[in-house]
Amino acid sequence: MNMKPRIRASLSTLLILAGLTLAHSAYAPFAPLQCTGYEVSAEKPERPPSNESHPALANVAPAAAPQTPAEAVPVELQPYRVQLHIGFENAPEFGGDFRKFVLEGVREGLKRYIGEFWQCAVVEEDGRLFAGLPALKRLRIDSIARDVIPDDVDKVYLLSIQVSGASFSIAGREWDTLTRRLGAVAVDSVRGRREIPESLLAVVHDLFRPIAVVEPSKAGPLTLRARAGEFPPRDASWQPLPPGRIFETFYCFLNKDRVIERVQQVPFTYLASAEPAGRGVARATVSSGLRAPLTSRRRILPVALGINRRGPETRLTLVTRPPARKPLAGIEVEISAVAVAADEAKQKDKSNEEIVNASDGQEPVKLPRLVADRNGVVSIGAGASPSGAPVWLFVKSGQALLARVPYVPGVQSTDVLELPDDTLRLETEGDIALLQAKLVDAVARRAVLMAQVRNRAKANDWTATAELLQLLDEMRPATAFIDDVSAIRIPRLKTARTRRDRTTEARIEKLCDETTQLVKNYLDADKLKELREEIIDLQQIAANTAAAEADVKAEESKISRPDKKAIDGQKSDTATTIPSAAPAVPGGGPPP
Amino acid sequence: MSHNSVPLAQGAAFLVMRRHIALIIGVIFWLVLVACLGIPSARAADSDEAETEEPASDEDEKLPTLDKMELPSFEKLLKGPAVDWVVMHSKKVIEVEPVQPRPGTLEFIDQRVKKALRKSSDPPDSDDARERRMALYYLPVTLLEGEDRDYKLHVKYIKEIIYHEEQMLRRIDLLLDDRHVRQAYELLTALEDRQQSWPGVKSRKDRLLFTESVVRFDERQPQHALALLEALHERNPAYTGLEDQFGIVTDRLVTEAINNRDPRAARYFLRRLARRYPNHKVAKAGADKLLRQTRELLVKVADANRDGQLSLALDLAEEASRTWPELSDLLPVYNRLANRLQRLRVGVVDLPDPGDEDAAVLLSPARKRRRQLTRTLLFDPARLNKESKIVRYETKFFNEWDPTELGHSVLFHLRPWRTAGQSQPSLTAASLFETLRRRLEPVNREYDARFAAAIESLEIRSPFELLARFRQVPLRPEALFAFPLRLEERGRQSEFETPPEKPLNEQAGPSTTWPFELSVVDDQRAVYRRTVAEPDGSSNFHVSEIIETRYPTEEKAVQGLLRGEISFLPRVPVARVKALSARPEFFVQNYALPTTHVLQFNPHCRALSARTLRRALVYALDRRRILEEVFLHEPAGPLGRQISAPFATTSYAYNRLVEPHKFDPALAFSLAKTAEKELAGKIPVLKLRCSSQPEVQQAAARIVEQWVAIGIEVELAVAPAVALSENNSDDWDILYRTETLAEPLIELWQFLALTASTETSALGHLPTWLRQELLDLDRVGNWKVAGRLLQRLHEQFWAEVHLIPLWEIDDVMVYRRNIRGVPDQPVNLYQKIEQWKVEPWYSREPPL
Repeated sequence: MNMKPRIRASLSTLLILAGLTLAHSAYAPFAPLQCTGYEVSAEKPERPPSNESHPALANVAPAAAPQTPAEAVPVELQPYRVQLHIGFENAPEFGGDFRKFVLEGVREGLKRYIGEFWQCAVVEEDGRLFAGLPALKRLRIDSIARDVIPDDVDKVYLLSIQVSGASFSIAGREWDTLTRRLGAVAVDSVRGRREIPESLLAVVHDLFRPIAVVEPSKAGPLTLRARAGEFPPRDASWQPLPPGRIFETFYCFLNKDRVIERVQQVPFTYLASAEPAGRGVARATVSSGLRAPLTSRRRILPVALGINRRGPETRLTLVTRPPARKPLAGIEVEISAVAVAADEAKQKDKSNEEIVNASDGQEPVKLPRLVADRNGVVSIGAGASPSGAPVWLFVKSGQALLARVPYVPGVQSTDVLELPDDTLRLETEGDIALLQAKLVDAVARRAVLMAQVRNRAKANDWTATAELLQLLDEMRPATAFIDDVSAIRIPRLKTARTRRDRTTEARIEKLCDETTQLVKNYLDADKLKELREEIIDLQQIAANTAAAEADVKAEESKISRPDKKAIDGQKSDTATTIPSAAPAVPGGGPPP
Repeated sequence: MSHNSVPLAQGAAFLVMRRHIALIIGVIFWLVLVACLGIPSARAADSDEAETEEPASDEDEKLPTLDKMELPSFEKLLKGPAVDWVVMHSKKVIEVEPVQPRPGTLEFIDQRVKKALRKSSDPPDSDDARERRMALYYLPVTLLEGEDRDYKLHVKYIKEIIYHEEQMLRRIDLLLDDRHVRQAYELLTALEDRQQSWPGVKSRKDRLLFTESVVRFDERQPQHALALLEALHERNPAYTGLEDQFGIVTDRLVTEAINNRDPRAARYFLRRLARRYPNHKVAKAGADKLLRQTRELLVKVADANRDGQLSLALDLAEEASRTWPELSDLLPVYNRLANRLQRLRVGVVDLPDPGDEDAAVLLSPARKRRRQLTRTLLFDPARLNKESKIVRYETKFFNEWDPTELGHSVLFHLRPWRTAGQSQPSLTAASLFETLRRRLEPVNREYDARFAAAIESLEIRSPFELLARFRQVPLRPEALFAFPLRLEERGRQSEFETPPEKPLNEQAGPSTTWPFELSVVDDQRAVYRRTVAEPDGSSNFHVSEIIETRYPTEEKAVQGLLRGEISFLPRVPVARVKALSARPEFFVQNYALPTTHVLQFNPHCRALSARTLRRALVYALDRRRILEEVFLHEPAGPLGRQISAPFATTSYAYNRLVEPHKFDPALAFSLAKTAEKELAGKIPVLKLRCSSQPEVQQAAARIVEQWVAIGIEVELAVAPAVALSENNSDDWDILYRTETLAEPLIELWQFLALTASTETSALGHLPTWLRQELLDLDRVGNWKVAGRLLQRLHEQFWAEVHLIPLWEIDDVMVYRRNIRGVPDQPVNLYQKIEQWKVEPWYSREPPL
């Protein structure tokens, strides 16, 4: 199935919509869901705000509280409000002084590496959020109490320090309050106690997922505006928009006061930052399996969340669309680095279509094919995309392509892909395969018999020829096969129409039509007719030849009879001239 | 005497003829003259009528004398023309063509003449009558050379006639003197062909047998020598030296047999001797020796038994039973020991070898037997319900397994005890949970994707109760749980599990298998021992050891059964079953399900992915013919039949409307050519692998022949075990498998996948629609739908030819009647083997 035209059309629509809302989205407000609305300020501050009097922070008001008009602050000028919760294991190595040392060390380090990019608070975890590494791993977003974190915090880093034999294990996890998503767990290990603050900073660095506002454009690449982009960190590796960074995308739904009401992920849609277009601004390319990804409307703000760490794999569950949501077991998933599958490449080349959002010029490399298990789950290893760029999943059911979506494996441990139910078409495909097997036998057998008929006819063995022709007549005719096709087609089409599944209907029609065409091509009755005529001709020729030969023989016999008489006459004459009593002479000559 | 030392052998008779041709012509002239004058010559008494002319002495002198005649060689006698020697009174010899009548030519002439003699009372003869009477004195002879070769010779000049046959006998004597037995035999046979009743033939035959016996004995073939002596004894018991030679040969045979620890053979030879010479001293000495050995063995048995070495004591008792079974003291000792330590002796043609059995799909019969003896399944397929055509399962582990929540869960009540004779691990809910958990975890080697998809949760209700909750109501929970129990990985026990208390004899190591362990394997035998031994105090013992003894062929194994060396044959060639079933000492037992013979294709083989080629392969096979000629040796039907599905025709899954593909070589050839076009090149040489079973090898060779006939090259090789590799590095394209799918609903998946994996990717080579239908089997909710689905799959396998079902054989096991407890029509070999009993028995029949 070719999905590309649809995607192109939807993108055009998207770009038009994006153009309409561009002015708003550039200064779009965003706030943590359910907690706080960060109101938009129209004025860009002349200098970066300090921790105490940050304009953006000053404009923050709880969503529930009465909103006051405020000046919009560009997102690039809004530093991250961050909390670091550092939990220590209850061990003698971690005394009070040491804990203070660690907290202070982290604060110092953040100032040193990040500066104004973050407005950061470093606190010791008191066990309300988590207690130890296992709890950190088990942590779910729904299990976090609302009052633990202040409403105005953008990022929370949950860090754990444990004694692990002769060394110390450092682990951490990021919580993005806007998208309400917990990142993957990062773990590090150090030998010396004094190295712990630096290790914590390294872990935080690994965990950091930047936020950016997406600005769709009418044509060309999208634009990403990174939060706090105007406050570049002192350490360049903290840059939010380095080229090639991959982002997940979300829609922020705003109310009439432009306060975020809810955030929803845009499924199977990823952004890749390209060349920078200013401080904290970069171009981006989009990869999506949706017809219209990243639409920007008056009350919808697309945002992007960076991807940094990935798990070992994603367990992707393939289900039918609601309400059934039946697991699709046995469905095949092919993984490709580009948006075109290996087996489709040739067809695409012919149609000379552009590959939407795919890297041009790349050869389609076919990666191992996966098969969904009995629960409809396929495990896509992070190794399928070593660079972290989205790979393309081609979900196939037999000959039908059910979906083609980009995916970054390992970002989430589980995910769900809804697909159309292809059971009916598969049943049809099975029946058609059975019919085609019989058809192949019939065609081959007919070819053999026809060849044998010709051979026998050439050998003038008309009895055998007649028997073989009889066998040909007894074979199943093309009409019987076509009837079989109809017997497959009609009930299935009826079912598809009942379900209002036009795609399946069209696919069944196509399958049946192709088979009917095969029957007509290979079991053409005209060929049999031609053969019969040929045989009749051969028979006629043989009869004529036989008659001619008989005539010739008759003529010859007519001619030969007088000759014989003549010879006999000569002989009798000779006999009369030579006396019978004459002695025989060797050589038969006359006697001397 | 050597050939050259014969005085008559100084030149061939023909050469003599050439040298003395003039002389011969002279003699002939004289003879003719005599005949023309009508002068009779006679050696009779009426010398008045013997007025014959003697040959000229100078001519006569040119004839060779008898002492100068050379006896014709072996080759000449065998291939050359027959020549008689007419020896004159002057010792001169005339070589002539065989005279008639023979033998006793001269005596015949004498009698003829005597009859014709005129008596004194008779009237005087007329001239004609006198001429006729005188003509009777002449022997017609035909010389070997010359234009006119027919003459008559008066008998009075003939001393004797050495016939061609006599020359042959003389040559035979010389050959036997030189121990050229084969040539002597050939000459004797040729002589018999000429005239069977020739005097001296019989005695030469006797001598030939005796001489050959001596030769064979000297060539260290005493059995052959004994057979020849027996043949001679049949012909002539009074032959000089026969009894002594019998003793010499038998003595050596008995000594060798005893040295080879084969007392049965020693008894056999002694018996053969005693049959001919009951009081032969060698027979008596041999019997005494064996009897003495048996008594010594019994003393050792008693010692070993006293020391508690039961196995050794039984070994010695068995040896004693083989040495001299007639000894009356032996029977009670043997019975007591054999009842305590019951041994099942099985005749096989192959023995297990080390290898990864889990991965292999093509298993040799030995590995299959090993698998059955060393694996304990939670549920075993036990019997076939003939009405529903469904196989029923049994378990040793559970008292009850009650479906609860309308079948959404099953509560397993484990047996806290073992019944008498059982040899399986003690299972608690915790250890069962651990076993099942390993099947649920994808990281585990025992992961079972189908099981994991079916099980929603496991719950330990009590130490002996475990609840399994299903995601969907399974059609057959027993089949779902019919997998081997593995408890060997003690290190990975669940933290909830407490190791069960085990008796000392059950302190199993990490590689413990149940119900039996492979204890010993060598070239000749494999010994399996019961893992959980039965306590001494019991009065009800069961099979303790299984000893598989290897025979070179299945026929030899049958002979072993008849001799009493073994008591059980797991599989008997169908053609031999009738003969065995007629014997009252054996049970002949059919298996519940026939063995299905199938060809399966390697999913990695590119050429075989073409359906056209697969169909060409199936149409090229004349399966009926192979089945009848190789396996059945009778028309297909009662003992074996063609099939169109990989499961038994007696199964509910078999669709009887689907007929096997018909043999159609022309269509096969046409399809093969089409496949070549599809593959854009010549079809590669395909590699067929089969097991070492002799009949299977033979059938596979016939299959290859038929494929080659339509232009598809196939290479056949025997492989002890074959597995499907993951990296496409297989050395095979087609497998000849012999399997029995007890429950197609469950077993079909792994059968088709050619692996033990139940993951969906294992059938990735199948079309999606076919895979979907196989997946539907896992979710099926009632038997009607299951049967319909399987029958539809049957039809689709027929169409797609993903495998070629060949035929099914109703295999048969044969065992001696002293074996008890074998289930009636078992589904598997060694089914409930722990419950079998082997009653003490040893062969007391004479070895002949």
